[in-house]
Amino acid sequence: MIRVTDLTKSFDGVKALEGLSLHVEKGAVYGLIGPNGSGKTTLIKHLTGVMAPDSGSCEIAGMPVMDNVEVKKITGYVPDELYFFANYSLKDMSRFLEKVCPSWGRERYSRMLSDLGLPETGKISRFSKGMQKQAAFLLTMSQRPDVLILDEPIDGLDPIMRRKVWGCLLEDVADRQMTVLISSHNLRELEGICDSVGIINKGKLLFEGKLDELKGKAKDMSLEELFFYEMGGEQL
Amino acid sequence: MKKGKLISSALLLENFRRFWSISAVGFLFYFMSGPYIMLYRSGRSAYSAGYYGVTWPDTYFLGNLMDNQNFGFEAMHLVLPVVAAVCVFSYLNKTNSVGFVHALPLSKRTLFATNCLSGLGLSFVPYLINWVICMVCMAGMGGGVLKEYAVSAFVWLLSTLVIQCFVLSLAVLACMVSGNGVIALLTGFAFNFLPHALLLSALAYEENFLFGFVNDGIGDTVFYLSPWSCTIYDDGIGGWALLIYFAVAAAVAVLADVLYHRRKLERAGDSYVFGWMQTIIGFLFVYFFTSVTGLMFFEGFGIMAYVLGFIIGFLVGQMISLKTLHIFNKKSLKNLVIFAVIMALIVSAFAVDIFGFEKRVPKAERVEKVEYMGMSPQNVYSTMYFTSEDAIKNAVGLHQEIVDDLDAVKAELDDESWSNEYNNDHRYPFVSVTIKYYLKNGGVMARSYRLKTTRVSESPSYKALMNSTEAIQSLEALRTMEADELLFSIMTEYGDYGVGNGISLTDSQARQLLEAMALDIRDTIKSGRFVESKQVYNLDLTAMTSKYSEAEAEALDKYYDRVYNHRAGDRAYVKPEDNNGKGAWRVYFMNFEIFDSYTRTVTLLKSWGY
Repeated sequence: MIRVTDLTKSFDGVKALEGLSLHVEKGAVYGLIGPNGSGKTTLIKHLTGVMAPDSGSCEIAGMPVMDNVEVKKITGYVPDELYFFANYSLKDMSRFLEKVCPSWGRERYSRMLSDLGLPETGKISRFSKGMQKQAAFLLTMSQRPDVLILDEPIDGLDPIMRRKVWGCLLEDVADRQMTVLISSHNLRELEGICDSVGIINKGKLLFEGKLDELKGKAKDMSLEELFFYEMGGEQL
Repeated sequence: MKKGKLISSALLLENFRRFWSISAVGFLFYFMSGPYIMLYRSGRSAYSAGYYGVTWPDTYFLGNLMDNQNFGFEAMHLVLPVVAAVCVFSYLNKTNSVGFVHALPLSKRTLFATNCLSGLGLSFVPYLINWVICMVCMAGMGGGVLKEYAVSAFVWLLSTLVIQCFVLSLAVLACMVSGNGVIALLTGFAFNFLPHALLLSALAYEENFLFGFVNDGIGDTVFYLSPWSCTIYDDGIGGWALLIYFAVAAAVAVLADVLYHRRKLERAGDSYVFGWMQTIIGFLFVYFFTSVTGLMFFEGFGIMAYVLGFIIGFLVGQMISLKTLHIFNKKSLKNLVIFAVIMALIVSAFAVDIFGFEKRVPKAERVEKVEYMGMSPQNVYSTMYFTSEDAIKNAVGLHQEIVDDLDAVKAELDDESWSNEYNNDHRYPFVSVTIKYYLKNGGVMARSYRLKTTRVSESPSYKALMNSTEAIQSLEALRTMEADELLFSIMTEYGDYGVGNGISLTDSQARQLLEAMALDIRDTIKSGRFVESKQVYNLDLTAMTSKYSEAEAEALDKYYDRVYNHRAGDRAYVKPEDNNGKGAWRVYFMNFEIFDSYTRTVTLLKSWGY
């Protein structure tokens, strides 16, 4: 469902991604892990069409990502740095997104709104960081995307909310075969929901595989231990 | 790959919803500048007419409004599109908004087109509503006002649309190259004046360095570089001009669209998102700072004025374009060297007249017509036209004489003793000479010089030129002045502005006086004696004609412009009720200095007791 081939990107002569390739199967929950500055967000910005690669390609559902409306229609994106229109409430944002996004699910929106308990009419800018994260998640999930890309999605969420968010996400994976790519530092959290992982460092993919297979090969190491192992034990 | 529809109605409406306050403020400015004044004045017309002589409809006000020369409208036509463009494209300036908007299921083409249309809507709708209010007000006035102004109103609407499209397109271009709201706003305004500034600076260099350079209407061209500035200078914009301006706006918009697709979105927040744009902006700062300080302070500081301007411009430009105070790196040092070389080339190209401007004289056989304007500070004579082969040769000959002795001509200008002579006895040592060639290939070439009067009067070419039939006809033009009534008033003491008396002359005396003046002027100019003259009278002439209809007045204006040139610059209509029952007249006002060399005129005036 997501295929990245030989992706390279430099900023002012510094390579952020260097020949990176990865593949996420349809219906998979893929955890993208790596230390700070490893290129996770840069990769995600390529997958969402914000950045153009220096070389290589990104495809979603077999279509090139860059400036492709068909890809954007099936892709949901919760960025690390959230953005809402100034002075907009959840109601305002949902009204706008409902008009723009063809697959918007009004029932889904109402149900999640109720589950998360967010105020619909207050200004989002006045929400706490965690509430803004929930709002972004709510608005993105209501678009009922086939591919969901999450950049540090649970930062600032309390454990109860995390559970709700993950539950909601896994429900869509089970019901609609939604493909999810999650970038996160929280390895224990990812271990509980991901079925595949990719470890990225210095713009290169160090490791990619199914979590079950991985654990078999790595003699029942936890994801965290595997990560440190792949990093060469630097973090230990 | 499907690109989707060109305009997203959802985004368009959302932009209106988000930025409606811009339109609201714009509407109020427009309203207070136009419709409010109309409503206020029409409601108080009786009061106004009674106390101030103001009647409504005020045709002057309406005319100004519809020529887009109303200050409030002018200001809003510029400010609104720039602000609207910066607002609708503000999402490009932050990484989070860039990510959000570009993740929406809208192509870049749709985003660009929709945001451009939103910007135009936000700036044009406030005007449009005010336009409708103005039309309603005019309809309410009755008396056929709306009908009278119907065409003007439509042209006004169309012109405003084109002006706003033009300003908006440049502002959008500014948004595409910049990555920061404040920079985008400043660049949006700057782009709208960049062509003007470049042309003006080029003219300033030419005027400062090239001896003989004459602006000759090129300065006026500055106003036509954009429809917005055009309305400041001219009454309205012509049909073809509107089309051209619109085409330019469309071309700029296409360029902006191309840049949007090439823009590196990750550079949101930088001053300028393209590396080449940083270089261009850096150079523009260098160019304008160097030019302004150099041209203004060269006399006091010499070459250091240019150097200082260069350094300041470079530092400011680099700080702004790189958005940092830490500008001393390898790249900026490279820019420093390149900019210095380019500026040195520009300044030296003018300073050493690299294109041979000063020495260029056309061959007589290439010239179709010569327009000669010689003027002493007393306006002794004005424009003459020459088309005969001999006269053209003499005009070219005079020009060649000046060019051949250019160093001496320049030295004479620097000799301050001449001005002392003027101060001592009111005699003018210099005369301005402008020679304009209309070439057979359609080109125009003009040179203007300030010359020592003896240099002109003793020139063989000048003497031959002034003895030509065309010169004599022109110099004696006063003899055949077309006028029904001539009124003279006299100032007996030059410089005493308090003494000005009307003099009572019969028609034949007035004609006699004109004849004497014409012959005196002819002889003075021909002989060059005006150089030695001292002014003894100052005459005001009011020439009145009964040619009042529009067509008659237009033809007569052309005649006066051609024959009497700047002398007849002031003109007026006199209404029948103000003309002692003589009907409506067209009136021209002229002024003549009478010198001691005007023997016929002086003798005549003295014989009449003046």
